[in-house]
Amino acid sequence: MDDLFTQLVWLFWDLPQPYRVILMVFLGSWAGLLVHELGHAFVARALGIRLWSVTLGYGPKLVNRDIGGCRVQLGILPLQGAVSLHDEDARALGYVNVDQPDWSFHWQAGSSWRAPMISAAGAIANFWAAAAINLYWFLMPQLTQPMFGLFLVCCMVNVLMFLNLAPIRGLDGWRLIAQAGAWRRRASGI
Amino acid sequence: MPGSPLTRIAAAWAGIAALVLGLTLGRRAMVLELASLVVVLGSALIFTVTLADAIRGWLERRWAALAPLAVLLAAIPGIQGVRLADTALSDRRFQPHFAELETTVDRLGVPPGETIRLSPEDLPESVKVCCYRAFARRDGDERAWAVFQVRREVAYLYDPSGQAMRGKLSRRWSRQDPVAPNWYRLAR
Repeated sequence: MDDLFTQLVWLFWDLPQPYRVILMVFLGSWAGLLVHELGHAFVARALGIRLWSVTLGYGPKLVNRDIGGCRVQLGILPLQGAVSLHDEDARALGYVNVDQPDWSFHWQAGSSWRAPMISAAGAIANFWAAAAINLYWFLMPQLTQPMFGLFLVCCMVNVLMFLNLAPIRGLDGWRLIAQAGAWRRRASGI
Repeated sequence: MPGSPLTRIAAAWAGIAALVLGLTLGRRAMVLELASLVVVLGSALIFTVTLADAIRGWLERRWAALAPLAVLLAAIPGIQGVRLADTALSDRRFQPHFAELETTVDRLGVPPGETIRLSPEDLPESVKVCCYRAFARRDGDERAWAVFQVRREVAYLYDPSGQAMRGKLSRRWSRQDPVAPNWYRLAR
């Protein structure tokens, strides 16, 4: 195992510098994307919400199969990801037309509190991941050079993915704003 | 094992995290570093899930809802525990050879102000397997001291005059713990 790993490291060092950087960014982006989407998915499951599908990656599909009633699709490039909730459970949370671009959210007493937690879970998982990497750097001995590069890229990608909480259409922050607006409307009886 | 499925997952993950990170603390191997990256990222993910579960269960179960989170956080003292066990194991493997190594170093006759790298032939048969680098040095009229490196991050210093850690060695090794008379465990 160690020999195989050493050979892989030698192959890595034989690559020209730009390719090494691209490989690091590729691996780091996958790590960030996995933490983000699985953060949404696992928190939804922990809160008792069924998942319709989990899409990880963009481009040609490497994996497209049903795992425990959830369609899992795995693309090659770590450029996008999505977690779709079961229609019935999404409606119970307060979503209307959840799979359409013009979706809306109406606060339902007793169940909608889970929606913002699921929306924020991805970015929060990224935040904890970046924090955990920093803690690791603080406590651990010096890392070997290629691994330090990989840790650094993972940390940067996770910090960038935390910015998903920005209130921009298409990002998680936009959903949170919609959910906060729905809660406020309900609280003020509008 | 009692507890909810999430508690069992958190317990299993905490065990893996303590083992991998505890071993990585004492070594510098790329396989362990890669495993520790996976563990660090996975821990962040499981921490998020246990936190969400604790918030969900707080109204119904109160303190019991914090069980998965507490079990996961037990990995932090667990890392230190594994590290201590790993160090104790290393000491136990090396300690029986101290007397033999002292004789070897004293017999070398290192000239004052010089450093001699010990070849595997100079070391006792039983030490060769666990020590991959060794050197001896003599400063002035003091007795010779020697360093036996057992891992990249751990070495044993034989220093009968107590002078060795005043020089370059103290910059290279940040920790020095006595393990026997004239013997110290060095760690970065």
